[in-house]
Amino acid sequence: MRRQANLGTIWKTIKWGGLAGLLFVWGFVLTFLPGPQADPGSQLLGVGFLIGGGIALFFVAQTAIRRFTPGTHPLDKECAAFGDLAAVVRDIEAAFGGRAFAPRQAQIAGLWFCYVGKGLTIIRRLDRLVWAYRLRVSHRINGVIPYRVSHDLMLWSRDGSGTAIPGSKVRLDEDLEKVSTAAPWALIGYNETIKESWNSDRAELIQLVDARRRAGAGTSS
Amino acid sequence: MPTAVEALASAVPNRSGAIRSRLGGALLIAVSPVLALLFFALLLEFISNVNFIFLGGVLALCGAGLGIDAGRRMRLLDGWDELKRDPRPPVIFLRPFREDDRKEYSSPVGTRLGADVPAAGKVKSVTPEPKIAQALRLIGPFVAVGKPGEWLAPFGAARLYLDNEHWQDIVAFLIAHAMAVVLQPDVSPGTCWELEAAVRFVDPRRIVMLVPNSGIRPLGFERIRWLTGQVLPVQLPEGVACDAFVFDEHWSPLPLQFANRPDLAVSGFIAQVRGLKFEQERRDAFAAFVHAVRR
Repeated sequence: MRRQANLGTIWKTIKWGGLAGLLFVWGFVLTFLPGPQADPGSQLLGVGFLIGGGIALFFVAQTAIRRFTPGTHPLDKECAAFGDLAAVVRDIEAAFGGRAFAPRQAQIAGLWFCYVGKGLTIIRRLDRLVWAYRLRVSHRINGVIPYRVSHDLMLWSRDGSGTAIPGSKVRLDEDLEKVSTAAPWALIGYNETIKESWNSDRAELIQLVDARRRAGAGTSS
Repeated sequence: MPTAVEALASAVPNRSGAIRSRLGGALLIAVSPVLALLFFALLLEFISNVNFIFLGGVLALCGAGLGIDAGRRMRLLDGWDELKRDPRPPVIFLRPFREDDRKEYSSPVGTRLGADVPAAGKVKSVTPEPKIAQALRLIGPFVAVGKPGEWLAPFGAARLYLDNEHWQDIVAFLIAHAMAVVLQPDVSPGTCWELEAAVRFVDPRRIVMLVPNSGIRPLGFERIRWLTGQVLPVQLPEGVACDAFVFDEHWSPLPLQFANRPDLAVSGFIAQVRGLKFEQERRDAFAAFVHAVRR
């Protein structure tokens, strides 16, 4: 997982660093290498791009350094959210039992849900899961012009936060099935009633999920 | 020696909780669109980029809308002024304060981590209060306790701003002398107390109880059903998707469905209240209280 997370960081650094560098270079050209039709407005814009590009490069570098440092590594941050880092790492490794980790798909073992891919590192505990469903998002320019469609697996936890895992429709349906099997107490699938209950009656919804979990534990024991 | 009613009236705070000014509100309503047009004209004069002009136009429109809305709300009557103007006993709206801001969202609400997924957008306000206010004013001044600290009164019931020390005494008096009570119970301590007071002092035929629709929010409805089951002589029925209940003289609940016209849905309730006799001594006691309120 750590290797995949590092690859994701490298990819993100190249992507955003490249864009920031492009902005910086463009600013340099506009400011110091103006063409024959150059005007003060272009040079001013160039200075703006230089500054913006420089700041962006600084932040990209700073973020990359942080993500490679133990303690602030994305994997360490995700694990630390569940308690002592070393204990959590041991627990996860024990649950996965040496299984090879495949990137860009949900990996579930015991109560651990892990995903690394597309620059994201996500670790969640399934005993905190309340609701999961696949989501289709139509991305639009200015909220009007659709330019792409993406699919995400949404996991809503009892603390009210949601996690979006990107992927293809087919693979996410498989991941949702895995989540449903590993956490049968969780609410699976989207409908308006669950949405309204989540928004307005969350405490009762969490109690319902807890009751389902207790009932499931009673049946299986 | 002041009477009990006069002593209670003296506990009413002397100032309105929200910003109120009929002249200020009128000015804001008049000036907001003019300022928006001026801003847009300046934008056209100095900016050539179409995207910025479009964005500026949208901002100007939103700004004008907000200004007009604020102006209208500044012009709303204070609850005590409404009680002084209209001598009839009040229709009092008892609800948890958070219901004033309840909205329906297009998707689940919460922090989103991970991939880029849009946040929940607000679709509309779902409180029926503004829609039933005009209908309920047919039987009496429609008032509610104002939320402490709010800057502008919302549309719907005229707000009565009370202090923390005396609000229960004043609300108990209003409930006991109300023409009708619109109750929206919930598990907060304040609304639990209001529910008990309404059941104790008010003829059940004068109560309309707003509830979460069990077809949309089954868990919310169950919570209210459990809560009211501890107080009401007859428990609310299960499996009936409705937005409110009215009651007969034996507390038997009758469901009301608002659909898109809550004002029409309460017309039967209004006719029921109109058919009830209101004791003259209660009417006189209420009139004496309102007269004694100094504002």
